[in-house]
Amino acid sequence: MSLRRLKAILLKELKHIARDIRTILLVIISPSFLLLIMSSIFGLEVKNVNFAVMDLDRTELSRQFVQKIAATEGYRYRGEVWSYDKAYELLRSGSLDVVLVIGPGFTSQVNRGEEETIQALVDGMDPIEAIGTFYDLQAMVRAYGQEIATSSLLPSRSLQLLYRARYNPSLESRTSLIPGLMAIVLTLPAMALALSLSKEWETGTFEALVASPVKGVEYLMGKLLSYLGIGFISAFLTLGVAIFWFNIPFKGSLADFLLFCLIFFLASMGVGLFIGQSVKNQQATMFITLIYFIVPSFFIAGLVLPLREESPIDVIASYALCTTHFIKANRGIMLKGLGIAQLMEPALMLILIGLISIILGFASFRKRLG
Amino acid sequence: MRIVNLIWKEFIQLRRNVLLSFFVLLIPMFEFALMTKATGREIKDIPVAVLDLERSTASREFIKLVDETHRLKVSFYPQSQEELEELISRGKAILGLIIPQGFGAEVHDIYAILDGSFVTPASLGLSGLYEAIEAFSSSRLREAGLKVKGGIKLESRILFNPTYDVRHFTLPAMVGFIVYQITIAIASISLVRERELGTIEQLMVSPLRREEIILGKGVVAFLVGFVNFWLLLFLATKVYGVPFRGSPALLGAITALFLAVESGWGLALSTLARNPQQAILFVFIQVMVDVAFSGFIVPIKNLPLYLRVIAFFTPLQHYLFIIRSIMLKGAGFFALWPRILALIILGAGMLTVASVNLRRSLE
Repeated sequence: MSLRRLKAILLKELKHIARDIRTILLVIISPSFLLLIMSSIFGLEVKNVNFAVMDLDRTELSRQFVQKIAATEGYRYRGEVWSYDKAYELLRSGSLDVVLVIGPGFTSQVNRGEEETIQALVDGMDPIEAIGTFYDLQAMVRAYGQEIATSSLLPSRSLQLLYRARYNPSLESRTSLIPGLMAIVLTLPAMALALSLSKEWETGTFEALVASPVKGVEYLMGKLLSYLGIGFISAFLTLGVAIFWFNIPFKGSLADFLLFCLIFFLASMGVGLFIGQSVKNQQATMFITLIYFIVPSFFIAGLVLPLREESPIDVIASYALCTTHFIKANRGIMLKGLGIAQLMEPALMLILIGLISIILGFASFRKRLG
Repeated sequence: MRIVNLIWKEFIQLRRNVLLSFFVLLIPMFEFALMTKATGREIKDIPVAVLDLERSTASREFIKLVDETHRLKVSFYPQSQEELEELISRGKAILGLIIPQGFGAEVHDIYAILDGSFVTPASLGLSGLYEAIEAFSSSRLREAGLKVKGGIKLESRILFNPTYDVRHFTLPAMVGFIVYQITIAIASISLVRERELGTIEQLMVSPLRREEIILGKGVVAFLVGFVNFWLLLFLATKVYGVPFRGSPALLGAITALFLAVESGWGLALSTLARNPQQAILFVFIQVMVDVAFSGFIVPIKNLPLYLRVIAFFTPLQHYLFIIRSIMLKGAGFFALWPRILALIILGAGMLTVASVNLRRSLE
């Protein structure tokens, strides 16, 4: 490897970039732009539960109960329904989330001091939403029950839970999601690298390079370094959006963040290099990069739901993704203020992915040219 | 007839690259299976660290109840608060529980520390904790021989997904995501690639009409998406047991409509891009924005009005709602017509924009 030739390659890549500034600007700006758009959506959500009541009791007390829930923030009373069929129909079309059924003996039962049951039909299509709504309702119903109960033994004996959420006291989903989303949007430079490589193969410019004194390895290095530069600019921009626009705390050190960016870019670009290098067809490259970098990152990289580590397949599937480790590390650095010492595991995993893919990429490159 | 030949040519191009046709059909299925495996059926066994300062029968009983809740698993017994906090900061435990001295006698407080950096499991863990407290309180009352008098109990019936199976929610969404991305990716890169390779000129001087060239490309993207749709649907329902309660014909028709719109849109993206690299960037942006508005991460109905208005313009959002409703709820045309209508109107609009754009770019 000669530095002079490497410099020449870097210069060539820079010229490419200058010639097609539109593409490069897109690569640089897209991650922060996407983070801005996506994160604007999260954290603005408010509870919005549409409920109706099937009141078979029709007394003062049952109406009071309905009013109580209707007055709760986030609960919207959508009127009464008169049959289970109608209730199911409205739940099925998604116009209602909950139907509360108050039985005919509600008031008399309560007045007699017996425990009374209210039935809630909950739309379980989104299980996480459904669980939340159910616990909410349960708490409201219990509180109301205690209010009207004849004997109030419960409150004095029951346990009090005092909790505090570390790192994110009000449990805002935005704070939790943004460091993770940063990892996903920052895979874009690696995808662009993969595509630019397969483009060179497809248009035959690689052959031209082979005829030149530049060595293949130098060429790949030059390519990698120029995209690494692009990646770092993108990383700074996204970090800026996260900190200054969304006020996400940054408790760790910038050095650790940059170090993780470096190994994350090396790993993701290594994979990109390997894909672009072995597929050599732009359509296929695009397809595979989307399917490796984007699709699984939303589902199995630990962004929204915790990682599942029950069987070796689960672990391999999640751990093979660069985003899994960067999501974990970035949350650790930004929200928890962890340093590299506590984040050895994700760091080593990224280095491992990077090493394997870069070696494979370079090896297949040699073979093809040889 | 010419159009059939043209579609055939596209398929030959696809087949010539054996690797590509392999990817296009097998990789989505493989990935789908892998992701399903790694998603799991439910969120359970959220790791809890317990610091028991009381060490009495009462505290042990409480810890047992916590462990018995479906959602929580007591995995660590740290010896000090520092150790407990360390477990949380390392992400080993999502929830830390401190049982103070005197618990069960004069003290009625329990302290919990949550890992707020990972909100979904933290809040689910919290609800599991309330469940354990409830169970503990009522068992204490029973022991004391006190009958709970009065009060109201909520009995819930979770419809359409009584076991809270997360897969029933995510798998239909994954089917939608994957076919959507495949279709839009193949469509968006096809034109720009021919242009870059210079083969578009050859097609232009051939007797083929411009509309036919475009249609041929669109049809291929559409077919690849559509075939993948049935394959993935088969996996989801037959292998992974997601119920299919509605009409397959209705879902098939709506999917066809949706994919036709997306392939037209992908072709339009293709005209905006000057090279395949730009095309992938456009697709990337399009896909991420659509995912954000698709209702997978945040339910659309919980968004403020202006965001719901924007979300209305993403076909993916309507499509995911429809595919879930048909599969899980068995919803029919009459329950879904507002969404279907929205999809038709949006689709017509998008295809018009796309065709105007395509015609201009080929002239």
